[in-house]
Amino acid sequence: MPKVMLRRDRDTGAMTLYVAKQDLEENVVAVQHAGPAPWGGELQLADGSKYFIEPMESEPSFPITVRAKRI
Amino acid sequence: MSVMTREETEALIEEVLQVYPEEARKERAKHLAINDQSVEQSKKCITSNKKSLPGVMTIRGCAYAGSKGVVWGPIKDMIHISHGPVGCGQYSRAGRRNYYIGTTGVNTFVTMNFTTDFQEKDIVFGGDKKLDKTIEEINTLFPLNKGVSIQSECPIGLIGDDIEAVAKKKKEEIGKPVVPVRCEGFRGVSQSLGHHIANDSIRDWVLGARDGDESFSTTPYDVSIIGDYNIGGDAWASRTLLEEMGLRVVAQWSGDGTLSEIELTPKVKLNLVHCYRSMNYISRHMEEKYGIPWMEYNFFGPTKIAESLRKIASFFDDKIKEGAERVIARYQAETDAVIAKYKPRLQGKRVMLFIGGLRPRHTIGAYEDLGMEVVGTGYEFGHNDDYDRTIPEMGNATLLYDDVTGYEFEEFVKAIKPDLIGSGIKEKYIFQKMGIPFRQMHSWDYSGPYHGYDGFAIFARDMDMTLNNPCWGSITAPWKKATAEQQEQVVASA
Repeated sequence: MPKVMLRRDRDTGAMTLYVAKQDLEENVVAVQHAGPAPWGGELQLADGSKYFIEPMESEPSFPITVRAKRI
Repeated sequence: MSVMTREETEALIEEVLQVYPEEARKERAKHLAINDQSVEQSKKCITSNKKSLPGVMTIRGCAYAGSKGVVWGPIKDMIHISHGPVGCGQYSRAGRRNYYIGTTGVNTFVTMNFTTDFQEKDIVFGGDKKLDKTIEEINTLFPLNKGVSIQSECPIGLIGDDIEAVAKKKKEEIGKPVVPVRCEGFRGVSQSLGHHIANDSIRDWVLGARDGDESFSTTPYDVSIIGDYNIGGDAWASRTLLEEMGLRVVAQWSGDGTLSEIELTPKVKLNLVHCYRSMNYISRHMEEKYGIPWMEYNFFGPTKIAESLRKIASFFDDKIKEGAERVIARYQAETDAVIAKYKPRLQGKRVMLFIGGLRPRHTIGAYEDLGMEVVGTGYEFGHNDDYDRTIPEMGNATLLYDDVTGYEFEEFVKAIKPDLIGSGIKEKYIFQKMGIPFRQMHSWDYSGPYHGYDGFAIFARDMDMTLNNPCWGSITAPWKKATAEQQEQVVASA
């Protein structure tokens, strides 16, 4: 269960997922529940890996640090 | 030698790796790569931030070096106690030439060495009492200090001292921040984890100090310089440019920085990150907690400076945008003169770099402005995100080496024969004795600043001074030269 930080890149507007301990900073290409409510679930990254975060009631304000599970 | 092709570079890496035993060869092969700009993710071509192999010569430091030496050390009005045996503090005293203003020993303490000087009994019975007493003494002898940080050395973690408890107790007693930093040297693979630990300790113990306190009057143009350690005055050279374009620099992290500047950083509008490697953690934290955006910039060489100034200005209104253009225009003539003077002397020269932090990629632009080419670069303690940022900067088929070993570096240099090498003091004399011009790029070889337009002029002068020094023609001893000439004459007359 790594702690991941989700943020929006200012230049491209793309959402990125950052895991400090793994030096992973990757664009999120798909979100299972894309909102507006609920928001979260499975996140598909550009490099093919997937993370799961607990769905939130509504789309949070970014950046935000959440616990995620690698699937 | 002309530029190497991809195949030649591959063959060179293969040849250099031959000397290692099987397992070491496999491991080291992952750290050496040929740059390919089409690769989007560095992890596909190079591995980094891994433990150095036993038996090889590495240039890396430890977590204590990353925390005390890099991040905390330059904060000038705090006292940084090297908590543990005397050596770590003594051998790293005087810092990294992080310049600062103040009277050392009265209100600033950067170049001094404070240590708890552990003895056998402290290891056996624990050193918390000694730490308590040290902080007490420090506060009596240096009453103008604004706070104390406790930089742990290896034994503290090994014997399990509770420095956090001491810190909390002393904080109450002396009424100043006391920050325990768990940066024992054995943590992590290099100084990089020390940076992270130091960032986290600032986050946990310092940054929130003025939350909810609105007494500081802000302007819409407040920025902070993050990750500039003022080596040889770098941060000052950067600061003048930012101020000239109309911004207000609230804080300098951490070269010539103070504790109150750090506490005020959450009030700024934009964090400007120079050294991404050592301070991205705190920037990301501030973005999340305080909503302060951050951006990386590069103040080496006029091309990159202009690019960065425009990018910084894009965060602000037209007044700042005009300011940026004004600054760029103002220094144009000056930089053109520098380039006109030095470019003909440096044109086409090839450079190999091996440094830490941000410089393996940030200085490339400055060399290119002088018509030089960087043919090999590498990070001491970089991570994949550093290499992600390096790959687009480097030419195709150039060499990338992560945590290069002493042997590999020498062999690469022998094969590639660069005209200039930029690395640290430990490499300096080896390469100078090999007859290759060398600049220390950690401390700017006791020169500097190199940031900003003013710094670029010094950078260009230094590179010329080193490369075109007449001493490189005198590497062969006169008597050996004489025999060589005589033999030629004999051959010619015969």
